[in-house]
Amino acid sequence: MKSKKIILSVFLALVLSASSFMLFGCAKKTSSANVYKLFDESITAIKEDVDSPFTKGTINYIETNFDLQDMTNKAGNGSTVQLSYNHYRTLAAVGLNFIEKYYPLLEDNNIKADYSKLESSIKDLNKKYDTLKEEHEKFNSLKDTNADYSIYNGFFYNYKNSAYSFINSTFDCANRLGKFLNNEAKLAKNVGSESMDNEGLEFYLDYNYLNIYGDFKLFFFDSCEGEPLDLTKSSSEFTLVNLSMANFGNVVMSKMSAKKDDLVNLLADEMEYVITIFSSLDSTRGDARKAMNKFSFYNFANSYDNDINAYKKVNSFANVYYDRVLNYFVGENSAIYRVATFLQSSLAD
Amino acid sequence: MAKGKDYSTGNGKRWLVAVGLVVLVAIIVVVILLCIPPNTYNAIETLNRSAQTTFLKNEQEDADLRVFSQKLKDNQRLHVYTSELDDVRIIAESVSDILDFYNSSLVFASSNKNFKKNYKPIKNNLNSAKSSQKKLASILNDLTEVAVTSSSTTTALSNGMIDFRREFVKWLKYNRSAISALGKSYTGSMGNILENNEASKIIINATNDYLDVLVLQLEKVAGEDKKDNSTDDYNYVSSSVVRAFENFVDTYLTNVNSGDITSYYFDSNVQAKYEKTNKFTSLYKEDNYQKIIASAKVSEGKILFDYAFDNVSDPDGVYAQVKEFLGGNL
Repeated sequence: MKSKKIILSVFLALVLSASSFMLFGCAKKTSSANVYKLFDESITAIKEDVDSPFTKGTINYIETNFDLQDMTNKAGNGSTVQLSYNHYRTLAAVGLNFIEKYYPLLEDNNIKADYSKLESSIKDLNKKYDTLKEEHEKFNSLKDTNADYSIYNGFFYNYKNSAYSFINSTFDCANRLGKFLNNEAKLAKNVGSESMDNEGLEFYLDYNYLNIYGDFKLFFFDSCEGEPLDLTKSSSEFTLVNLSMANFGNVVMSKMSAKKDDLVNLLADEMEYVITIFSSLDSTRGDARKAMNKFSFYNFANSYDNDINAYKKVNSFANVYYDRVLNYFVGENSAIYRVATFLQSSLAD
Repeated sequence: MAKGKDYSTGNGKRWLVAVGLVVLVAIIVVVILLCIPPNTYNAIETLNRSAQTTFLKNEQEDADLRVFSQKLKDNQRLHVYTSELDDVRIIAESVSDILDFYNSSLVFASSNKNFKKNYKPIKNNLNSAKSSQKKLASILNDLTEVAVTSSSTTTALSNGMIDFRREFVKWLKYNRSAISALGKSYTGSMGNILENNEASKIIINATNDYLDVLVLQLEKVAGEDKKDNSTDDYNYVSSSVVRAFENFVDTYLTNVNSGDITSYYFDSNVQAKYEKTNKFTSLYKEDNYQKIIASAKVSEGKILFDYAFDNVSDPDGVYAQVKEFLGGNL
């Protein structure tokens, strides 16, 4: 009796295992070719679509095929301030540039890996792009009319929100692509060694730059909730971080584009230091990101009238987080500035 | 066959069960209390509160010290104490800067293992420092009143100065112990290598050395030193060390973002500096830091250290480097 029970249990276990394997085997697998095709179609559409809100241009010293158009709202009656959302344009350009540059590496690669996350991220990007295009078309049709500023800004509000979601998806997709090429394709595996090549080094730098712009995105999109804050004040935190982002584009990104075929020659002797500063930046990034998650610059400007003592009443570490965020982005001693300055001199002739 | 012992049943057994249950519950409670890890967040909160309310940060405390200091300055027999009170202010500000440094760092600690180990000394000493601060504030408050109302002002102020100094030394000792424990927490807790590097380790150790020297020197004179100008029994000698301490803290722990701790990985000169400083430690042992600190002299606005080892040559310049390091560069 007892042995019968054992045989039955073993038989059931075998049946279950076999059916699981069969189901798993029959499931539609995402292949590298499929994902490449999806990326290719998506990026081509964003670039070439006649109704695309993107055009070829330069924003914050970054040349791109993806300069987001019409990112300015209209001055209200009696208001002298017209808000420019150039930080949206910069972030969109950086994220899409990265995808455009590196998705071709997905074609014909033989890496056995799970492509499902890459696939879902590009699908999500497509969805967000459709909404962005739709909202841009609505906004664009109104733009040249004499519509009242409040109606105009209402349409802009929807367009801006769709851009916000689109850029978040762009960074998610770019980060997944970067992570795949770094961890699975191991594109940067020879960086720092004698067999380092230009392609690997270029990817290593680009991936680090993407992370740096990811930090800027966290500041602008999460801590500032996407809004330009206190633009009337030349020394507002928003303005200072915005300038830091522009400076990074100027001294690093634009130089990098110009020297991309000569990176190994320019940096080979300094690779130990390059790796050190990027790993230093990596380790300090966690603190800066924690501070940005804990400190809302949006609330600081809008609810506490930029008074840190008022903010401290609800968040006793507010001043600590505030300092940490600014120390990361702003000033000659900030981590970002130090990295930019070093790369500027290294990438020079 | 021996008859088995009769055990009472009923009420007696129930008692036994009840006592057993009580003992069991007590054991469980003790085990739970022993096993609950210390809530390190409380220590961080205590540190945050302490850093923001250090002695003399409070306007009333600050105003009272100024009044007291002025009264001493105006009194011919007691004006000798004014520089000591100036030093009190400097020490309080520097201690505040050190607490600020730890406060702004430890909230980002990636591991709280060391924090847990040092939880009690941090929390207890900061709380004791806070109690001591209240006493200091109360003494100052009394003294400002005495200065106005007492007929024998000189004696009252002089005695008050002794009381104040004794309490101030206690306050400093509590902070020294808390800061020492904070240093132990910091080392190994910061995942961020911009903060956890050779420079930070050496700076933290030297900060503790400065505090040790100050406590030692101030303790010697606390309660005994002169009460008025009628005696020569005034052995306060710490002014130069206090100036050096202030300079050191301002250089290395205030505005950390511009100092050696964060620039360590970006600047090969800074790395070379701490390599030399480290070499000194391995050659001459760390207790010599305290001897050098105790020999501080201020000459024409510059901080110099007189201390010299007998028969020690300094071919690599490590000794000179440590002196330069301890003096700060402001």
